[in-house]
Amino acid sequence: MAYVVYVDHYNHKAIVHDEECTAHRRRGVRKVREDHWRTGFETAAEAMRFARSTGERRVDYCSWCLAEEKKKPARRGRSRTGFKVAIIGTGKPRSMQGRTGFAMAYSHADGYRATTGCELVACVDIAEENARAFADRYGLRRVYADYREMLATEKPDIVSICTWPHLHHPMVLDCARAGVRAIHCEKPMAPTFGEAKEMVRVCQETRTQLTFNHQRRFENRFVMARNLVREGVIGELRRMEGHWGNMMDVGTHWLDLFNFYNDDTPAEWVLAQVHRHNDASAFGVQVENQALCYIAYKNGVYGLLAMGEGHTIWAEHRLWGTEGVIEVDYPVVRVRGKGDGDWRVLEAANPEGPDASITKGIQDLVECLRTRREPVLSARNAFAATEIIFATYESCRRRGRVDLPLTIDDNPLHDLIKRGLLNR
Amino acid sequence: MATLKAVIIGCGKSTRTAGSKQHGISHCHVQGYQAIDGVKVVACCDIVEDYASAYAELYKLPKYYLDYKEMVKKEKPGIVSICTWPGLHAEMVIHCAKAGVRAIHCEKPMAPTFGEARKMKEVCEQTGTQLTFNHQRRFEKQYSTVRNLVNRGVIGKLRRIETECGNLYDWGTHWFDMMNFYNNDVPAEWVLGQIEVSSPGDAFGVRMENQGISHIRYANGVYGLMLSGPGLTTWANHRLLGSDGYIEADMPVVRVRGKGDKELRTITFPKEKNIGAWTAITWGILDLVHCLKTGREPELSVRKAFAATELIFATYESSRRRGRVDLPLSIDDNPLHAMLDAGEIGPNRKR
Repeated sequence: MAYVVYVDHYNHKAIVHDEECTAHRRRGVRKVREDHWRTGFETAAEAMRFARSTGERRVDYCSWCLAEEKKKPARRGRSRTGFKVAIIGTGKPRSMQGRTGFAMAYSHADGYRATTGCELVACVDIAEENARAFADRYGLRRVYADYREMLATEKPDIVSICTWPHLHHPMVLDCARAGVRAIHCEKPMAPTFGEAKEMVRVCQETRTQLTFNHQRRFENRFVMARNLVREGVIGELRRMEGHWGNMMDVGTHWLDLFNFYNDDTPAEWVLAQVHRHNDASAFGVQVENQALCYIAYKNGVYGLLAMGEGHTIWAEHRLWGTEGVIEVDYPVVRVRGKGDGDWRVLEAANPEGPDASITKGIQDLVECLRTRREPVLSARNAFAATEIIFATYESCRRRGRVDLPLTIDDNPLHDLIKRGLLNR
Repeated sequence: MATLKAVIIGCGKSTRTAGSKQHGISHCHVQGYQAIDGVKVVACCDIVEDYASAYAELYKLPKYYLDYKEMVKKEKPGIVSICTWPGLHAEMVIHCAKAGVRAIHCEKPMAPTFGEARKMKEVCEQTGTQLTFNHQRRFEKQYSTVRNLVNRGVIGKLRRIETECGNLYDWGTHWFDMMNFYNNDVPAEWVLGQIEVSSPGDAFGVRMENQGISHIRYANGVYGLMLSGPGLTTWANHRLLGSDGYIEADMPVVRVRGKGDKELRTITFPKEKNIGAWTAITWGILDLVHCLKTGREPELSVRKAFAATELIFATYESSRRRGRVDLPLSIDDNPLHAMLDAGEIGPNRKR
C-alpha cells in the first residue's frame, strides 16, 4: 500500500490519498497537477504527518479513498503522546476593524501549530462569526458558543483562555474541574487578588498545570539583559527600574521580568502610590493613570516602577549594578559595564518575529506537560508578579508599606474608586 | 562703615554646665558672624538662664536675655539668627519681621506645618525683611563641584537626581533643597509619593515618618527621586543620572562616570566639621550679609527654602490624597500629623 499527499497551496489544503484508490483512478484525478503530489509514504499516518507539516489550513484524509480512516476519531493512536487543544475566546481576527484586543487567540493557535504533538480541535467565542473566522483560518471542525459545552464534548487536554481578565477565574476553575490537563491563560491573572489566589489553589488541588502568558521571558532582549546580569557584566545587581503603561495590564509583564532578572527571588515589601484622574481601564478592568512602585526583594535587590503618564526612565528597563548599567529598550539593549567608556549597543530584536516568544512559551508548557517540570510561565511565577500589582494598590489604600505575603482578597484600587477615596 | 548688629535666639544647652556633648547649631551661627568684618554679635537669648549666660560668656557677648521680644526691642538688631526648634520658627520670624529687623537667618526645617511656612514667607515679603534658612549644604564644596560637573555636561543631559537620607522632614529638607540646587532651582511641577509610619520618629519636637519615597517632576523634564528610611537607598548621598553617565556624591568622595570613563573616577574632599571658620554655615552667613548690603537674593533665600519645604509637604499630601499633587501646594496643615491624629495611619491606626 502506498499513500500520497496532494498539497494545494492555492486552496490551502493538504489531503492524504491512498495511491491505489480505484475511485480516483476512474476519475483520472491523479493526473491533475503532478507537481502537487508527494509520494512514497508507507502508512496513512506517515502521510498525514507530512500533510500536517505543510502548515496548510485544511488537512484531511480523502473521504473517497480513506473513508474509514477519515471516520476514525481524531488521533486515537496518538493521544498518548499527542494533545487535543481548544481555545476559549477567539475574538476578532487581527486584520479586522473594531477588534478590541491583540488577537491573542491567533498567536496562541500559531504557537500550538508550531508545537509537535498538538492538535487544535475546537474553539469558543460568544460571537459566532468570530469563532467561525477562527475555525476557518485553522481548519477546525467544531465551534462553540458555550465553553462548558465544549469542555464536555471535546474533553481537551490543553485549553488556552484568551478572554478578558474578569473571565479568567471562572473559566480556569471550570477547566481544571473538567479534567483539563494544562491551562494556558492570558494575563493579567484576574481583577482581584482573591481570584488570583483561588486559581492557583484549585489547579494545585486538581493537579492541573496552569500557566500565564508572560511570554516576554522568551523575548530576545530580556533574555539578553538577564544573561548580561548573570555574566556579572555590571557587577552585583542593585536596582531594576521599569516604565511603560499601567500596573495591571503592562506592569504584570515588567514585574515578572524583574523576577526573571532577579532569579525569581521573592519580594519582601512594597511602598507605592498611584494617581487616577479619569476612568482609565484595560480590557474591562479599571486601572490607574500613573503609578510609583518601590519593591524590596529578599536578596537586597530593589525594584522601581515609574509607570503611566508623566513618567519616564528613558528606557523600558534599567538595571543598575555595582559596576555599571544596562538599559533595555526596543529593539536594542545598551550596556555600560566595567571597562566600557560609552554605551555598547546590542541589537536585540527577536529574529523570528514578535510572536516567537508566545510560541516558545507554548512549546515549553507542552514539554512540561510531558516531563512534569515546572513551566517557565508557571502560575507560581505569574502569581509573584501579580501579588506586587495588588500590593501597590494596597499601599495606596493603606497609606503605608505593604509587607508580603499579601493577605487581601479584593482589588484596593477598585475599592478606593467605589468609595470615592482616590485623588480626593 | 556702620556695623551690623546681630543677635542669636536660642543658645541651647551649655557644654559647661548641662553636659551637652555637642555644640548646638547656634554655635555655628555666632562663629559665622564673628568671622565677618562689619558684623557684631551684641546679644543672645535663651529661656534657660544658664544656657544664655554660658553662651554669652563663651563668645564674649555684651548681654544675654531670657525674652527674645525684649532683646529685639532693646538691641534693635539688624540681623537675627533663630536657632530654636521648628515649632517656634513662625512666631519668632513674624515677630522679628514686624519689629523691623532687616535680616532673619532661621534654622531648618522651616516649620511643622506648611501654612506657617507660607506665612513666614508672605510676612517677610510684606515687611521687606530678608529671610534665609540654613540649608547650608549649598555651600559645601563637594556638592557645588557636582553641580558644576553637571552644568558643564560631563554626564550629558541631566535626567534624574536621587537622594537618600533618614527622613523626609529634618534631613529631607536639605536633600530636597539639594535636588533643586542641582537642577538650578527650576520649579517643580508635581510630586507623587508615599510614606510609612509604623512608629513615628521625632526631630526637635516634630513627628516624622519612618520610610518615604517621593518622585518629583521639574518643569524642565528633570526628575527627582527621594528615598528615605531603612531599605530605601541609592548607595550614595546623591546620585545624578545623565544621558551620558552618572555621578555619585557620597561624602567625603564624589564619583563620576562621564562619557569616556571606563569606570567611576573618584574625587576625595576633606571632611570639615560644622563649626569653625570657613565652613558651609559661615559661607551661608557671609552670603546673606553681603546680600543685605547689595540687595541680591541670597543663596539660602526663603524662596528657595520654601520650594524645598513644599516638596516635603507635597509628599505627605500625596499619601493623604492618594494621588499626585500638582504644585503649587495649597494646604495649610501637616498631612502626616493630621493622619496620625485622626488614627488613619501609625501605631494608633483604627483598623
